[in-house]
Amino acid sequence: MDGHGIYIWAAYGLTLVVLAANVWWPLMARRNIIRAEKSAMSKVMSRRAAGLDNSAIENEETKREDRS
Amino acid sequence: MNLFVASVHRDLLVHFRHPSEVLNPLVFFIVVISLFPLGIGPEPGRLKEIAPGIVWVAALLATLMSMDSMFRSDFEDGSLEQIVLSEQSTFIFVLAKVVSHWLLSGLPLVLLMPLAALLLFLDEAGIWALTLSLLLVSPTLSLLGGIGAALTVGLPRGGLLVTILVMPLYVPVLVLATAMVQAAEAGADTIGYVYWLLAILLGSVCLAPIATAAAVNVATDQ
Amino acid sequence: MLSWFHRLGSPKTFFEISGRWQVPLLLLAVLMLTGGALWALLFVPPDYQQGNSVRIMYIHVPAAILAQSGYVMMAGAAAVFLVWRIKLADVAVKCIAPLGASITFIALVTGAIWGKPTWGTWWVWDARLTSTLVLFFLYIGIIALRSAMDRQAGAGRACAILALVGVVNLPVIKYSVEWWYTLHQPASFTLMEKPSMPVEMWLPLLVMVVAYYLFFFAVWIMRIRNEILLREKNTDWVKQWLSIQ
Repeated sequence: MDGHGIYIWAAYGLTLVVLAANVWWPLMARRNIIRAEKSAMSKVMSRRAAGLDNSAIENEETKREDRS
Repeated sequence: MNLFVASVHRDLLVHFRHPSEVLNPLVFFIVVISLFPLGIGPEPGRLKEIAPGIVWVAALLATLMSMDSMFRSDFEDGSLEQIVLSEQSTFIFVLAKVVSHWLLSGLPLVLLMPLAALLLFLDEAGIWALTLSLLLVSPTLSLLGGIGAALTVGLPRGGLLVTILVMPLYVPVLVLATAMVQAAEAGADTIGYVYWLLAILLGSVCLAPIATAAAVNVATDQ
Repeated sequence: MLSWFHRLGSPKTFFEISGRWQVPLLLLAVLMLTGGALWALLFVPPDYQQGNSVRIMYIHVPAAILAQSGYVMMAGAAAVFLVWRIKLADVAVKCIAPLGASITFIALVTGAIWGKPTWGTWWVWDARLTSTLVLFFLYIGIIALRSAMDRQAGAGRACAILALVGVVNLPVIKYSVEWWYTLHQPASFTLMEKPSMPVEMWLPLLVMVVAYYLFFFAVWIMRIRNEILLREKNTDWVKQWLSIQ
């Protein structure tokens, strides 16, 4: 390729890497968000199931968290 | 009009009592210029050739150094919020701030131009063009820089961020001003550059305070 | 028409509509990108002046076009946010900045790589590359301001103001850089200029431009959806959606 080959491959390669990273990053972020929120949700639900859902107690806890 | 005069008067008074805030950027300006011969070599021919660029970059950096304090002290003691909440026009207030900033940083820089020209071996045509270009552009620098200052006023380490935000906006005036000085040194007519720089100045006077006032509103809405 | 506009501004509606179009859009973009790239690499004839390095044009020029129009789109979203206070517009601005910066980065580096076999140097301060560099700094400014103000209440409006200031200055910057370049390089062959190209050359370019745009929108939407999930995570519809993931 008249010696320009390495430049062409470098340019295309870099473009591929940057574009792929731009797809990969939001995919990973989405997975992390879903995982984090699901575990937060299940924590709340398991506390409710264990009968710990006394709204007065929960309000106390959130107030304490806000203060700290 | 009252607010305008009062604001400028107050800023000038405060800075005359604490001159270091005004002097530091000026010293910085001279220091930066002095570093170039040390870095590049002392030959007059070479220094003279790149002098417009050096002086202008040093001037931009010195201006950006002083930009951070434009709104900060008012923000910190709460008077910024008072002015925004009052019925006074934020646009006029911003304009007043820009004027006092220019009087305290742009104008002194203009007065330092002969010294800079001396250090870098600019000839007479160059000195005149440099001084004129800085006179025309320094208000624009204060106007555009005010936008960055207002956007970052609430931030703890806003200083360097202002540089990043505002530098792209300075590119056109930098290009025009250095070209004007180079044209003057080559003996060409510079009136065209003057017109362009004036046009940019007028455009900035009309538009920049709008953005700055909007940014001040954002900063005081916390 | 206006009610459709306001309805689209609801995060939930946007999330549902985009959910259906997300995958096909991304697939189509990837398909077109691959096809266009292969076309550029294998089937376009070498340029009589530049040889094979002209193939880089097919990934550089679409990136340069998108870098600029991306900033304009960002400014459009910023204006929508400032004027109509539609929060989704702020999400759009936040999500487009890193994407636009990446595309500008691609334009910069492929432009530099393209310059090496043609000019012999890795960088040249010509009008196009220089103004692309300044555009890159403008994007970085938006990202830096957003991250410095991250959780503060005014972050969206501050970034929107900055985006609008940038877009107003963009033509001034471009024009002044181009003029500056003619001052210092009077007789020049512009690397990136496009003289009348035969169809075999501009058709794949058109394909790549469209492909880049589709890719841009697909990734933008992906980021917006993530941000919506984060901002609306306490609402019922998000909780419901999460439970079926």
